[in-house]
Amino acid sequence: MAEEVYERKILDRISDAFIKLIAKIFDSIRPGWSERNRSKLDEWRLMFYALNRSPTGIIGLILVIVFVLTGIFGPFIAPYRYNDLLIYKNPGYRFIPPGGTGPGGEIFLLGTDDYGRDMLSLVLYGARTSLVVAILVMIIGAPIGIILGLISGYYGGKIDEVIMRVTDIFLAFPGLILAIGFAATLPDRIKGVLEANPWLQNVLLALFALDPSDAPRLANLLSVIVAIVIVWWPGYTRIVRGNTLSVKENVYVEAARAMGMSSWGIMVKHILPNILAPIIVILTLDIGSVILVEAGLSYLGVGAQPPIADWGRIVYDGSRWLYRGYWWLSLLPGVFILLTVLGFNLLGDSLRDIFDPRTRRSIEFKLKKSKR
Amino acid sequence: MSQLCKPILEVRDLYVNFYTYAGIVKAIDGVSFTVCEGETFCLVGETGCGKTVTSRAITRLVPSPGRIVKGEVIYYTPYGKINLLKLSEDKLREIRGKEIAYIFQDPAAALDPLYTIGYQVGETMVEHKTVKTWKEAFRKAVEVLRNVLLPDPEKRVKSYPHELSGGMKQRSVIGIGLSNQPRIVVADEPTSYLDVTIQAQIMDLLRKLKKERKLTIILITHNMGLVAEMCDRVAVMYAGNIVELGPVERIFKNPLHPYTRGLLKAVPNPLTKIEKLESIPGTVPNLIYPPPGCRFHPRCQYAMDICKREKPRLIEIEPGHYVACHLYSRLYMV
Repeated sequence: MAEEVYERKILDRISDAFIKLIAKIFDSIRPGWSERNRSKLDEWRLMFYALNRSPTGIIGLILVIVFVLTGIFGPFIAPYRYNDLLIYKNPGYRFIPPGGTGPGGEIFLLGTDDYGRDMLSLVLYGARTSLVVAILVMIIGAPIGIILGLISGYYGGKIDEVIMRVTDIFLAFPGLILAIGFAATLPDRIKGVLEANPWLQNVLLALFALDPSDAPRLANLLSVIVAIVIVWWPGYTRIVRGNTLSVKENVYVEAARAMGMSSWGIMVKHILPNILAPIIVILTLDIGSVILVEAGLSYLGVGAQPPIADWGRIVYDGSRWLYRGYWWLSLLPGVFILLTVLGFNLLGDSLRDIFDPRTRRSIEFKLKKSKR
Repeated sequence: MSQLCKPILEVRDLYVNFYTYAGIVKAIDGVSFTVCEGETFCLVGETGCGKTVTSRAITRLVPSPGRIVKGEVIYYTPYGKINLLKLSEDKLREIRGKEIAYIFQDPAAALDPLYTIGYQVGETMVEHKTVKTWKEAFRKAVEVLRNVLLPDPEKRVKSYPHELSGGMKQRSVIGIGLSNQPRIVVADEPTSYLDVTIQAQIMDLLRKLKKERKLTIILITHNMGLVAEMCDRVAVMYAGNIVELGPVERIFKNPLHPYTRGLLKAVPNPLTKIEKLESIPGTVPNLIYPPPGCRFHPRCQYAMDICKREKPRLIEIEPGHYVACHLYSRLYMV
């Protein structure tokens, strides 16, 4: 149908191939899947076409993919562990500049820090820390906010009033300060929980790619996550409530009620899917912000404790040496924070354009050129 | 008809108010009627006279800020009577869509754009557990859609609403309504968004389904032609009241209430050419401050003093034909 009209570019070929691959995978699991979901796949293809026309979106997507891959595989490809303190082997490993060679003749691509730790490895491990924190915050925080927002918007009345006033209270505090407060006071409590549940501790150690000896320092990381979640959910509640209010006026919601569906069923099946687009956009933008806040908290000393590799913490540790001219200690992880957050913001911005049917149609309209 | 009437739904003295910032809108002001099993019962009236609200109130679907203030809705099941307004929400949900189903007026809006037609038909059946699995639901959905004469139902169950025409959408909506074989179908202006040929098809379909399944239809419309064609009994509503109620042929041959007469005069006759279509002067009154007495009196050419003071009650003029007007209450006053 529409595919003939589009002028395809290399990126389109790639995204087409990607969608075909996904369809193939699903087909092998459940035969006939792609046939049943043809309209959905077509829609996805058009979405990718629109994304392919947005240079900033593509840059963002690439940055995000690089970050996610680094986060997943970084600890495996890192040449050293995050807690390999090479100066105990040889003091000559201290402050090797980027690209410099160590006493043993090894090349340190990004240099080493005051303990002789390989900066490249630190950055790679730091990516894992940031990724896991961001994902955990999203997994825990977003559903809380979304569910409360749905309830608030759907039922209205007193329930709405109560939930909204609670979010007001949370939003009235400056987020970072509140997070610092929680992050500073929570670790003791969390330590107790972790000691009571060794399996949880092991799972988290594996997630953060930490040595078992660093288990006591997990509590600080977790307290950061909890602190950010506490500060974070009201934003979602507000956005979801607003969208729910507008979607629930649709006749199909009333029709679902007249067909005897339960309120919960209507919320989950008919309202949530219809407001998913703005939620995804906000999630994407927020992952960037969460990484930034987490780095900020660690920089301020309430987050990850050394030797856990964390971008914010590395920036802080390096800043003590800046005046001596060891610029790479702070600058390099700072650049990684910048690129990652920038990537999520660019991607989120262009996703907003793509998910909004009005702007998307205009993008598609521009795409339509002479027939191939 | 009236002798054979076996009631299936009875609305008694229903009052619905809407609590708005401007004031309390007394949208339904003491409506009572009985629907017989297997008949087509019509609610007619101008826009804003409370037809839709009445039909929604039957299963307590009055949208906020509306509230049912008073009244009873008695539903006659094969096992006994139930007052739907007193039922718990869970019990009521079992009746909605399974015993009493709705067909909405704008088919394009009544379908969720994110799901296929088959899913939406199946959803109702799964929700009411008339089918056990989704697989069965999809298979049944094809059957349901074939029954409402949707062309090529095997293919159409996989279509999304935007891929269908208006008539096909309306058929799907009817299919959703009928999927659980309800006893009563409330059709709220089911054809007002469709063109005339499709209208006729949809009405034929409803008539056919009614005959096949002994369906009771409550039809809400402002189209007098449709009323004449489809209905067994008619209730004419004005500003939240039923002003006249009776068998369709009596209403058309011998309209009693001045409002009914006005309505019928406002219908153009394609065979006779007239210079000017007659209309009823004025508009539906503001229901926050409804006129005292008979709500129609400011627009009524026969208005008398008593009309401004006293609200007329429905009285039976001929068998099964009721009217609420002081013109007649005087004649028949005992």
